Amino acid sequence: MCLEATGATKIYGKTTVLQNVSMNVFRGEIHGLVGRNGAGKSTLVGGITGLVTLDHGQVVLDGVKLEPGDPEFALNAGIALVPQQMSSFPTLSVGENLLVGRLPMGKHGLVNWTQVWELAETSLKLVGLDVNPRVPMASLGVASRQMIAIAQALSRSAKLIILDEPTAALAKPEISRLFKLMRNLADAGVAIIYISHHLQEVFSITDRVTVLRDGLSRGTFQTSEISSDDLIREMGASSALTKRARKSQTHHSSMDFHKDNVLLEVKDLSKENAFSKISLTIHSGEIVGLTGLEGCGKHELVQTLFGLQKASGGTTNFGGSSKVVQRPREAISRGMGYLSQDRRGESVFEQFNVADNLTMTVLDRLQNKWGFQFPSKAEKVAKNAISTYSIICTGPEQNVGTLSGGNQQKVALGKMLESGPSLLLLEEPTQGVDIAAKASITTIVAEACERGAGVLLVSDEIETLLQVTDRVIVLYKGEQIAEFDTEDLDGETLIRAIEGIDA
Amino acid sequence: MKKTIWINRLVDHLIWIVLTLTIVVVALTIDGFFQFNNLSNVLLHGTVLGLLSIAAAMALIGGEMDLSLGVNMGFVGYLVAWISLGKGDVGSGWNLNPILAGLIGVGVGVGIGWVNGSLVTRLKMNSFLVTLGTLIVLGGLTYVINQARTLNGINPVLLVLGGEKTFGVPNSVILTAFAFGIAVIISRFTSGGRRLYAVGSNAVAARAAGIDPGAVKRRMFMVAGGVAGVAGLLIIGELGSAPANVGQGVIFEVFAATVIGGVSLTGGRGSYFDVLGGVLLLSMIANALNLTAIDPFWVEPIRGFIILFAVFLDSQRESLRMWLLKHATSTNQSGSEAA
Repeated sequence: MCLEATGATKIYGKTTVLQNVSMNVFRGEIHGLVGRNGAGKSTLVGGITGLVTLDHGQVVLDGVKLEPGDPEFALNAGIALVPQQMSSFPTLSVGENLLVGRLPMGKHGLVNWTQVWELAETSLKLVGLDVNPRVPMASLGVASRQMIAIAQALSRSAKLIILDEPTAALAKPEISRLFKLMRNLADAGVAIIYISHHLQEVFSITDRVTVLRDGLSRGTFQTSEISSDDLIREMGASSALTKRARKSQTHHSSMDFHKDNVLLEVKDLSKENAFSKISLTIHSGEIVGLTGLEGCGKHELVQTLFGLQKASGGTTNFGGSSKVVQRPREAISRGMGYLSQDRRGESVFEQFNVADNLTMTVLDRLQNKWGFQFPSKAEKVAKNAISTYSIICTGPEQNVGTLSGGNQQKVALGKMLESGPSLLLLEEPTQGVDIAAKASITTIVAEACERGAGVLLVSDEIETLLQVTDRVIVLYKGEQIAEFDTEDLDGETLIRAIEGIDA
Repeated sequence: MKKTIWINRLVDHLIWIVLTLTIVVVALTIDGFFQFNNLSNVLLHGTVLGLLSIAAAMALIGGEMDLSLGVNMGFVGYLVAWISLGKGDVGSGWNLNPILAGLIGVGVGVGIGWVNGSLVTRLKMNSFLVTLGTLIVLGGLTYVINQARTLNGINPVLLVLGGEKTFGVPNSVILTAFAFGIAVIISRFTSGGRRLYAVGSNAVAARAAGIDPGAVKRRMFMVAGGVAGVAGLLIIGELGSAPANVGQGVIFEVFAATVIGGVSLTGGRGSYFDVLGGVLLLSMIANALNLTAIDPFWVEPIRGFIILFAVFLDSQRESLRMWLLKHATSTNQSGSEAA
């Protein structure tokens, strides 16, 4: 036995994100760790690496009990994490990246660079990477950097290597290179925990797999003895995934009313290294869902539609022009509104008050014919908007930074809707908001649809997609692999498509 | 692969090519540039600028900024002159031993660095604003010490570093060259020096690698402050007196030399060897403008334009690198990953 984690429990405030989870990993084993977003994978890994202090439970590595919440102790004990978001020193050489904090010293207490390059070359050879250790890290591609992170773990002679979504940024040949390396390491006695959303990969590389759901362990299975259907069921056939009746009947009738009115038509839109040949149509009054795993290209697609990123090919037809939108300003003037998934960074002005945020997009409308703007008018517009979008705040003067996440999101939505867009691009609008706010955000969107707007809703939440959309488009590694009519769609089918398992 | 390394080196040390070209142009167009006395003047200009640039580069490599270095130097120089002056002069009347006074001065420089570093790392204050604050405080305090009067009659021992020569070479030039040598060695060959680069490149990753970014930065600010203090001892020797406004405004030229020398304003990249190139370039330009019969009022604007041009060249560095690498790899088809 290499790693033994028992009774791992973590509670944040009122929510238990990890409850009494136990997991053991053998030497020489590749152990899959799967679960949907929020299942508790990251927390469990945090507990093992000491980056998260567990409330209960303990972690034992090769008979040594680890200090809770002490990442350095775990590192020295032989646990190495290769994080999803690579953290490295871009300005420093590859060799120094590998050996940072423990450069070999020569006689006079000076760094022995000859030895640095030699050690680095040995480590790089171990992962089969043909790179000169003297070049700066920034000059390498994502795949090489991933391999270097693994090489770093190896050069620390790690007993347990945890790989968090290592294939998210890799192409097929790189993935097979990585898998070969993982198998070689396992054969040499290293234990590997492999976290992935890509179930196909989990089936092809792991020996056993542990499933988490809602902070609970669903058990550990022999990979060869469990079918993909069973695994998916363990991951999340919760009540949330059973199809529910659509909320708003009026929404339906209005949709039929606008059925023939095509708002946006996208043909063969491509962007290198992000997505290729995407074609979709959005009608007036329609909500189209867009989903897929992290890195599938959905975020890039929406940003390209809005002009924040450049397309490399294809056409879009929107707002009476067949030109692909080049910049956000143009997108807005042609009638698009975009709600970013990065609420704090891109959607609201946290230092501004509610009124200033809500009127941001309509400043021109607020000024009189001499170009002056009176606060009273802005306040009136803001008060109106506050009640329309049921924003819970002390008044138009409250700073948006002090609002709850859900109400910030309503402000962001309101700000966008005030300018009267005909096409809404919404990224994860209900992410991290409470149930009440979720309901009113859904209502706001539904009402915009009734007025004839079309919506492209990017979401990871299966439940939300099933409840509010008319159609769902699924991307997998940049390809449009499925389009469903929500009417006859169930959660399991959707998850299978998202995970890239052919139905 | 070899070729790409060579191109990377060339682009990294671009300043030395620019410097060589400038020397050729200046030597061909301006009479009297290549005389021993004049070259000595160029180097003299580069002493104080050089020491302060080492300190400024240090801060930038660590991902922070230190604007207070120039006035730190001025404050230390003035303070040292004042505490070592006897009664009857305009000094303190303490008549302190000049060597002790010098040591105290460098200590004060380190102390100023400690204050900067503590405010930045412990209280998480922005280093640009913190050091802007200490810049103003110290500039004012220098005037407070003795009603802004210039101090004359400084103890001759204190003038040895900045005012005298050994074998015909000014001591300050020797000291500065020495300082650059030490800086290159520390930055390339000691674990402490490498840690500073790691912290400046990515403080989060540095912490994950078992480095304490706060401690590294505090030490960095203290060393930088100490170096500025040493520059304070040089400047009073070079001037032969201690004016209260010495060191005010020099920080702009210091930053120009540092950036022209290829130090990244975002941290983690820079070489002291190239900073020396930047210092020599600016010293030479200042000298050349003095030698020409240009209207003295035009010297400053012209200097400014030249600095802007040098910074422009620096900003084109990465495009140049890409361009060269592309051409090199398209000719030998190595297709290496570094390209």
